[in-house]
Amino acid sequence: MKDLLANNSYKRLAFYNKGFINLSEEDWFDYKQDYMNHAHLIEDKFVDSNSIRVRITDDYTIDIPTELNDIAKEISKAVEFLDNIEDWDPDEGELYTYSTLKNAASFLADYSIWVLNEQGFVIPTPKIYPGPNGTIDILWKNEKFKLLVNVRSHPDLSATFYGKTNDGEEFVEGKFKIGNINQNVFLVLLEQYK
Amino acid sequence: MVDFEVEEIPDEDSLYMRVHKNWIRDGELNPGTFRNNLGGMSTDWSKYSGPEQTRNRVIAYDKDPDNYGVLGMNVGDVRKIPDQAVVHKPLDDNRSHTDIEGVKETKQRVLYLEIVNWEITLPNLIQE
Repeated sequence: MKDLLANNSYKRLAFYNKGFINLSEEDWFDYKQDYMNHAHLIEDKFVDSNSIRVRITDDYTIDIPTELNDIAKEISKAVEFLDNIEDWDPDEGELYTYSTLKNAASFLADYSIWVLNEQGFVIPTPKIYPGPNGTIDILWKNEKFKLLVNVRSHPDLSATFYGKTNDGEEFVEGKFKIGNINQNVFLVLLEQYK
Repeated sequence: MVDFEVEEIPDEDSLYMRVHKNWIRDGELNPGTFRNNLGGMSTDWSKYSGPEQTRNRVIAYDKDPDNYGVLGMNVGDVRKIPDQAVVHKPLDDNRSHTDIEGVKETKQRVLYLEIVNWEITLPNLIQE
């Protein structure tokens, strides 16, 4: 592990219930002894230093490459919305849960990383919204196309999608299981934004 | 039994729909706005209601009308969205009440985003 730290491609990241600490290997031992007296260690691992860690819940985080910083921010906004919502009117319908948010965030992170690694471009950043009946909507909407992905509460329940170019020339429609997506299906729209 | 007869709604008329402020984020309309409640998406027919009346109906439910905006949509445009049916369903206290029946899946909700306009806006709304 020291070799990994030496070439600066990895950093040691410990995630506690009170937040992150990020230390050099040399400082690690002393600090850990002190910090452990005050916080519960949830996770202690080496991660790629070119990634951003997004907290969904205290025991569930997602690492996203820094190139996808805007995607990470949007996922964080959806978490903050749920963390801070106080005046959701129940007459407006059921609000999504952290479990559903895990599914949606995992899909969005996995898909955007796949496009970055395999297709070589950064996808436009969508908005994450509450959907009908406790679901989550992920919406791409720009001058070239609209694409809506609806994620349900359990990963075994299919997510559905519909997208179209604004000129109506192309459209995509279907469903997929989270974690088992045909990765090419949205590219007809997303590539227009390269 | 409702006092008002059910009428056929012409394509050229409009429908008005209330939207709570929670369905706006970063100034943009959330497609989750378009959803069924008890079998249909509740709207008011322009023949018997204006946007202000649609918004103010929430007062009867002890809700603050300032928390709501109102969307307008053309009936003919709604009927062009697959599997949508515009059905006049007058109530004793609201002759204009109209349900838009049919599924509100991703396809329908994307297409609704393309046909609605704001009749009464909410603060911080970005209008296209």
